Amino acid sequence: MTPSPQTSIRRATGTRATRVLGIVTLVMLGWLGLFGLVLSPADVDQGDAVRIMYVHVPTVWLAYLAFIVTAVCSALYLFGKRHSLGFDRVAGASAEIGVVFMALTLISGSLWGRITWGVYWQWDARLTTTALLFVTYIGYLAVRGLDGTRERRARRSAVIGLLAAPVASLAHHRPR
Amino acid sequence: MSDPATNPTPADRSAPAVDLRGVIALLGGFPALSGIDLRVERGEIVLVAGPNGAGKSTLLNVCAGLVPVARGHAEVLGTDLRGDRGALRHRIGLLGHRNGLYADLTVAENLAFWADMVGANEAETAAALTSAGLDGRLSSVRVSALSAGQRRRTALAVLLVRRAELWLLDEPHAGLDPSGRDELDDLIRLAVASGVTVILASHDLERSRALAGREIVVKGGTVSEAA
Amino acid sequence: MSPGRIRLARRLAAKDLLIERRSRVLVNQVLPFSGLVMVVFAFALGTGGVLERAAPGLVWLAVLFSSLSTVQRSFGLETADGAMESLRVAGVDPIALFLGKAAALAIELLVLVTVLLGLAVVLYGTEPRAEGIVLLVTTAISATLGLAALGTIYGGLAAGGSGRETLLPLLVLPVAAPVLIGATRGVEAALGTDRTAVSEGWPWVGLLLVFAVAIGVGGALAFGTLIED
Repeated sequence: MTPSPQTSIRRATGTRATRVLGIVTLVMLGWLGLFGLVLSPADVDQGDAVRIMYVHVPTVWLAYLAFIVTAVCSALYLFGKRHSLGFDRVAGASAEIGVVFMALTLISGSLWGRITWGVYWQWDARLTTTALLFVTYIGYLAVRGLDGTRERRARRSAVIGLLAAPVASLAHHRPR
Repeated sequence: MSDPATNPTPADRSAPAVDLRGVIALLGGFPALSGIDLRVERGEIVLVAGPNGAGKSTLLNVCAGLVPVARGHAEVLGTDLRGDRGALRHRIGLLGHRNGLYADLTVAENLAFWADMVGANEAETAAALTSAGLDGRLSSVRVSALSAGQRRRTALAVLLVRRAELWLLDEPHAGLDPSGRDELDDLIRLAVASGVTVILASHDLERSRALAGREIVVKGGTVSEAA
Repeated sequence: MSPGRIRLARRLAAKDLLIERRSRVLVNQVLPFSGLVMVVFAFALGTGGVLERAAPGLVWLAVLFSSLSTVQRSFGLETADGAMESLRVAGVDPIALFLGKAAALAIELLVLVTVLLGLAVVLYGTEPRAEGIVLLVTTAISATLGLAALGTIYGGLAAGGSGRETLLPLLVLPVAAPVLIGATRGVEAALGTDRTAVSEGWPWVGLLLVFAVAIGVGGALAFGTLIED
């Protein structure tokens, strides 16, 4: 059975909304580039290094947001009445986004640190916990890659996704 | 926890061991069983035959409540499989190609451990050892030093200790020598005489036919009664 | 918590300890390995005060590495012949299973911690002081409880299928980081490393206890789902 052109169009994941979102994203990216690199002046203290912050801060917020979405969707999957696999897929996709943006955060942050502090990495609490959070979600993605039926995979990853979140925040709020 | 020693109600006792009607079960989204009808009375030994991949193991797993029933009517030991199966679990003994034993413990220690898990007493454990022909010197031998047949009998003795009413045996004869198979069959007959129901999947048809009162064939996800 | 559950958990733990007494896998393999790690640290860092100052951290790092092997052994004996699978299918209470496995693991790890702390005195020249003994013991116990609970969760997950053993370090180490930090600071305060006062150690014991309780409760509730493969 060969798919007719019409069905193959239906199978594409694009919708009008995603296309509009894509165009808006591209425009905003251009805007960010223009303001961040050309229109805004260099910082008094940090000089041109401050421009890294325009990327660094949004990526870390996005990463945290993605991990929160993962935790919330894991909970919704596990404790929801219907155990909808949709929540599982959102949790997984969100964790992937989080890991990518967490990597960008660590890279942009260390570049900024090299310019400002003179070193790529400092062993303070914030940096360390951020790195640990990054590795924790790499582990989460590895768990998602394990064998088993979709339901089992979903249950397993939901549990790991939920366990990772409070542990990460515990690491964040330790004494001293 | 639920008390494993709870006696089944009289209604449970008279219900058939297995009652499947039009059961459909999915594995990975595909129907592994497509419309199974099977009724097994208490105290029967039923042989499940059929080619590899036909769904024999899936059928046993459905009866054990491990593979969910997608559609159809399914009752095991008087309990609806689509409802709460929690209390059913300890009444069913499923044995696959692994025995579920601790190799570093002796036969008696393995049984004593399970007795504590399910709340059986010492007399029941001793009786199980005797039934399985594992009493005396063998009982204090570590499982790692046993023959394949002795290990398999220890695994069945665990089912006796657990007072499992329905035994689902997936290829119980695999890897055993002829004398080991004879001793295994003796143990199964003994258990059935005491009221246990047995469903076994086997490739050793000749031997299993001698053991079983009835034979069904699973093929292409459906069941037919063998002539 | 029902007495039946506690009884089951104790029986499960006793079974694990009996198997260890028989097979001596931990005594003959994991303990020598952890001692070796301590010696290798000494080679790498050399003498001259560095070792003595780093000793608390090195001890817990050695414990962490060795705990991975201990967890693998604990669940290896369950999966070798499908014993865990049988327990699960027979409907044995998963919370009791978790508590039993974690209790046995905690006892085994506590022995390991004690030996390694003793080894630190011999190899690294650390000197325990009388006023820090209570803190030292409390830190060791609370950290061990957390590690045992953590190891049981991820050990149970890794036991579910083949080819998952390599996943264990990746999952355990980042989550165990709070234990490593808390236990190290606690022991530092107990020993007076870098002239720290004993009182500085107690907040870390608090952290370790919070961690142990959180992971213990979460693990007990999640264990049934994790081993269901």
